Amino acid sequence: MLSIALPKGRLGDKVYNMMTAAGYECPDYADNDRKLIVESPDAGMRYLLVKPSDVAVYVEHAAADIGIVGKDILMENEPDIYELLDLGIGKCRMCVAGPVGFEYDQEKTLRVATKYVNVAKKHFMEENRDIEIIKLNGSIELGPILGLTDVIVDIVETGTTIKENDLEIVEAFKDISARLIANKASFKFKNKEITQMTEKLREIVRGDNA
Amino acid sequence: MDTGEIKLKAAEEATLRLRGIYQKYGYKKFRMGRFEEYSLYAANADFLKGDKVITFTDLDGRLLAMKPDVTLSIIKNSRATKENGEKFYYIENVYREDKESNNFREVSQMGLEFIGNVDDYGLTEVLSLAARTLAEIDDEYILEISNMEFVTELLGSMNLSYDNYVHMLALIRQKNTDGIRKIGKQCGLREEQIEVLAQIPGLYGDVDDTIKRARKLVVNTPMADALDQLRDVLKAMNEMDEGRRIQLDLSIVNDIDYYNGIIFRGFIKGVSSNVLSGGQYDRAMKIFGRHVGAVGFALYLDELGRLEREKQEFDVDVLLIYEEGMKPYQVAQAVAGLRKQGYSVRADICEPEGLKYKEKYVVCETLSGDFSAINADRKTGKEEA
Repeated sequence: MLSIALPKGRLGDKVYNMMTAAGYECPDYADNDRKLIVESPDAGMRYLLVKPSDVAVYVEHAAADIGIVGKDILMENEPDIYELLDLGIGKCRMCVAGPVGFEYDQEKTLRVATKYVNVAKKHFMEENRDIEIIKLNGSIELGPILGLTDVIVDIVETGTTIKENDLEIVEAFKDISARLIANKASFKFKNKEITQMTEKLREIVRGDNA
Repeated sequence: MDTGEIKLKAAEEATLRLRGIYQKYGYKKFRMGRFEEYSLYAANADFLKGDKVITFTDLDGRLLAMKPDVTLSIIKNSRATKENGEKFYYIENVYREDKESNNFREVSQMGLEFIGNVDDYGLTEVLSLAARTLAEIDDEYILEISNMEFVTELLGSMNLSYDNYVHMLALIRQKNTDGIRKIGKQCGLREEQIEVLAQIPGLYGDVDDTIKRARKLVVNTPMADALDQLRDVLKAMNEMDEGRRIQLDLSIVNDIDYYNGIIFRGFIKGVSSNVLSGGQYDRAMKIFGRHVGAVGFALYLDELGRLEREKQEFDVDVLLIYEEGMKPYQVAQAVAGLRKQGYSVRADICEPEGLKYKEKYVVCETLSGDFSAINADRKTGKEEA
């Protein structure tokens, strides 16, 4: 039996549809709204429904053999796992955004609001920019609006939220999408099952892109 | 009746047996100091994959560190030469950062090192001992082996910038084929070069099959040599009867500044990450000005603590209660009597809270004037001896 950690919510549902197409259907998933674990003995699968940012934690500690997680979270936490496949869904971009007309001022320390502390640090270090980070857990866009920070670093999907809050994208520096990840030990001991699933999903991703 | 056998924890048991095995191959126990000059770690932060160490100022003003790693001290202090090799093993505690809790933690390690003329037999011996080490802990283990030169020689032939080279190594390590293709394109590699790189993550599994598939990707002699060396060493491991649960995985690569050649990882079913890691570190020796071969491995004993063994139902077979004021020899006679019958005994004047015992006994005087233990439930005044 393979256990897979899925992010709760919209992305998880999309992934589940791909899994169904690949033959890993779980009837209990569809009519479930509260349970955290649903099983499908026929498909040899156990689905764990967890907070998106926790998926990689479950997989790294082998509480789940595999999982689906956004690249943004992998970049931020750098877990020790295998990244087997880009599923090409949940696409968005990691961006720096600031008030309309914002320009970098090299003479000042740049203040950045973000929940991606490590990603932001790494990005601005590569640009050789001196920054001060203020960590927020949500409604990041408020940072520049209230004058708390100069810019934000966040994932942007359509850009609507940014626009509605009178911000604009200063630079988009990384494409994000959902990835299939595997625990390194599980990958050895359940290799056949994991490889088989990866290949089936790869076929579906190819079909979607064609 | 139960013989009162005391079960050791998995890690304790394994260390005991392993010491014996290592010594049979001529490896000596090596005891190290707990402190090291801080500058050693500051200068080699890449080797440690982190720069967090516990530091303190010694009474003479020197800045010292609690060891975060054993290998660096070994490299620094080794006096081995090609002619005068050193073979030893150690059991040490090191102090490292725990990323999740953001605290330091103590990590227990058992390791084995061979510094000197490390030829293919030397590699075979260390790899076989690594396999034996895993087998002693659990039958369901996997030892996966690679030769880093295969990947580094391939990448070396592609004229990548240092940053891209390191990035590519990281992607290979993660088995991230989509990433390899993307970065390959960005670096301006040719389509056929990208295809070769994208196949590396898939080069794992059965030894013969993997070597066969890898042969098709060879673009220069050093890559072919790397595969030949793997083949020879693995054949020799079969001679040592340690070739059973071996897999190849040519995507295992480590920091290229310190490591080279053969590299390996050990997994035990039920443990979430590798419990053993090792490989050749001739390059690290060279950094310290030593031109000798070196290979070794470390077993992370803490990880083994998570292996679920059957939980002990009882702390002790017998709780023996004696009265305050009894002479020590009287209690001793009763304890000795129980021990002779093979019971484990805890002697006390009252029942300790939370102690799980099978039976409760009390110390009584027998008709012959000796003292012995009597089951508390059956106590009816003085008993027959």
